[in-house]
Amino acid sequence: MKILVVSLLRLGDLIQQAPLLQGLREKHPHAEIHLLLNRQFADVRRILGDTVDKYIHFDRENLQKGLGEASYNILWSYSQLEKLVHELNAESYDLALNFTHNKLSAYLIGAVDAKEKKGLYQQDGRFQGLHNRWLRYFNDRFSGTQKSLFHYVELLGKAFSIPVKSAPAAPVKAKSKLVLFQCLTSDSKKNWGLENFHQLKRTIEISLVDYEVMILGAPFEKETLLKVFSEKDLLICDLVEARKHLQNAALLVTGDTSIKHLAAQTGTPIVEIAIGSSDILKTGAYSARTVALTSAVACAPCSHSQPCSQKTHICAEDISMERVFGAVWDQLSGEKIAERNALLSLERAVWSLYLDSGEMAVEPSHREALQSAQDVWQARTQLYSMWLTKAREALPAREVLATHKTFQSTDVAGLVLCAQDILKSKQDEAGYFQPFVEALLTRFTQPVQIYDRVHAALQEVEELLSIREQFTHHLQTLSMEGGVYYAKGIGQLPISGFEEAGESLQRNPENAEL
Amino acid sequence: MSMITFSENHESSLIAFEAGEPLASLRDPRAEGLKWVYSLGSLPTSHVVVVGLGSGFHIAALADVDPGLSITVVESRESLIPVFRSQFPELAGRVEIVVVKDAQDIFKADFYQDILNKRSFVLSFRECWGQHVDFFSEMFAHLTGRSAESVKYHFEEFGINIKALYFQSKNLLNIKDVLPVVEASVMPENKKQLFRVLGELVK
Repeated sequence: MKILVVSLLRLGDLIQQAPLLQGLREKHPHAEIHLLLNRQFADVRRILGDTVDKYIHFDRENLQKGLGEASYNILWSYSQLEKLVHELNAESYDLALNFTHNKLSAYLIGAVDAKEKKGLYQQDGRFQGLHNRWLRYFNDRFSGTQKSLFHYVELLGKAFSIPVKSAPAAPVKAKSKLVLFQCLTSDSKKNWGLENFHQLKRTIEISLVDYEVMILGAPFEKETLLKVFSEKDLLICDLVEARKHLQNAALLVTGDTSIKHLAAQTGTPIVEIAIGSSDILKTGAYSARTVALTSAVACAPCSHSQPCSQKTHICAEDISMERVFGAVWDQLSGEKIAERNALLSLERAVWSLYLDSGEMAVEPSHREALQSAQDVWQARTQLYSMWLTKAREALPAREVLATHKTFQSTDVAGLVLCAQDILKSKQDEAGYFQPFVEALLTRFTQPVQIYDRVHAALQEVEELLSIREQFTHHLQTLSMEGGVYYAKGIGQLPISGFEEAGESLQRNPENAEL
Repeated sequence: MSMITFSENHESSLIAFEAGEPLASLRDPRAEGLKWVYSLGSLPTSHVVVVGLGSGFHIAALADVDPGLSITVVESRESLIPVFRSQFPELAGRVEIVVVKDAQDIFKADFYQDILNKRSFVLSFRECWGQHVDFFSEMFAHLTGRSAESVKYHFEEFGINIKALYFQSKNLLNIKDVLPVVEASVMPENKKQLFRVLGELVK
């Protein structure tokens, strides 16, 4: 079996996708896995190693040069691309997976002959591959403003049925007293500032006298780092050496960089300063040992391609040195990193049940979460049910809308008011009503079109609420019984005891003979 | 046609003049040629077309820096050729010079077909264009497929109707100008997909 994985992203994303590729290898141990990646990040093979059998390069820089510079024949880039596609087609892939999920990769996979294609691709004049609920969720959340409940790697793993292991939750390295900083990122908007890092270094070394702070950097960053740090503080290295340093470190403090994904892989605790265009849901380290510090300013996270629109770098200013030091302290002291967000874990469970269209094993943590957040959870359930009822009542009948020749906003005034209530309340954190709100923001020419879209969105909410109700009921039942069953007269039996009882009820041939 | 004359500089190199204007640096034509070649960076091809011969020092520099490169020069001023050949006899086998008097004539020429087949890389050295800036600019656009007139030859294999492009301004065309035409044309879907990929790369 031959599998093509298309990942035309940046270095950090490629490193972040390592668990996906490892999961793919586990799922198809005898398959030949080829990875199509941007040529400029070819060095990532030193990190991914044997997980991938063949690395194929997409020469984005040269293709763009050929398109942008007049000296190149207008079809030069076309020829290069055609050559690449011929090369790919000669491999006769059984499966093509799109890990990139953008139009560029969708068109490219559309041009490649593969027996099966998973993820977004364009064929027969339309985008396809979003039949899977997980992929639709991924598409909706990552192209819209609503936050996702799941990490990007987790979503892709679910969408492609690839078993993904989170980074090992290694205990704090007791012997290590090394704290590493990765101060510079690929984009100045995402830099917290060298002066801030310098102050943090001094604070750590004064407050935690055993600890030593060293600064990681690539060779091209050395000159910039030397403006603030002395040469003896620097660890100038490539990715492979950086991984070795991370393995020996107690903590990494970093911006949104590829180094943090390496740290996630090695199980090194991370304090991430996510500012500028950094979006922790999209590019945050996939590790349970990460504390991400984000800014509360209104413009954050900003667009990746746009320069900062503010007079000063307010998102960086919003994250104080004391706050970062607090996170460093928590990580190094090994105390509970962050209180588990009970509601969030329950919402994730409900969405997983919905997206999987199946059953999910209930974890003990869900029961604990429900116990600790029962009141809020129930109040939210009632609120969602109320919104659903209100929206259903406000939705005019299809037959009525069909008689209208043109669409007018007054036709859906009740729905708009309902959507306003939802948005103003800021209670729909899990995004149950997001498709409903988006349906009202879409332009339609025919009134019945809006009916169909809103109706479908409300049906989805109804299904989610039904799952939520069943899930809550299930957790409450377990909670009441405390994981053990009681039977009158015979005392307490563990759940497993029923299996034994079940066996004893089987017909015994010896008894029959008697 | 302006008169072409030649004059020796202090290094005894022959410099061509057109209407009193030198077609290369008088002081150091070799350094000027080398500077131009270094500004190009590495070329992604083994054959290039250069628009304009002038005094030929830039051609010599190009051949010198990349010994594996074969060069075709397009020039309208025939009188420049014998002097170039005598000044750089070692380039006789590597540099082909094509004389084109009228920009419209190239579409029928054999060498143009060769350029279409190879999708050749085209270089311009404006310092040697002298009085013929418009002519050489037009040649450059035709050779790269970036003029409205030439694009139909470059896109011949796709069999698309490129009439819409005639409404484009005289600026050099790029792939973005052609994409709507490609999208509206009847051509194999897999080829259209490749153009769509290119469209994403120029966003």
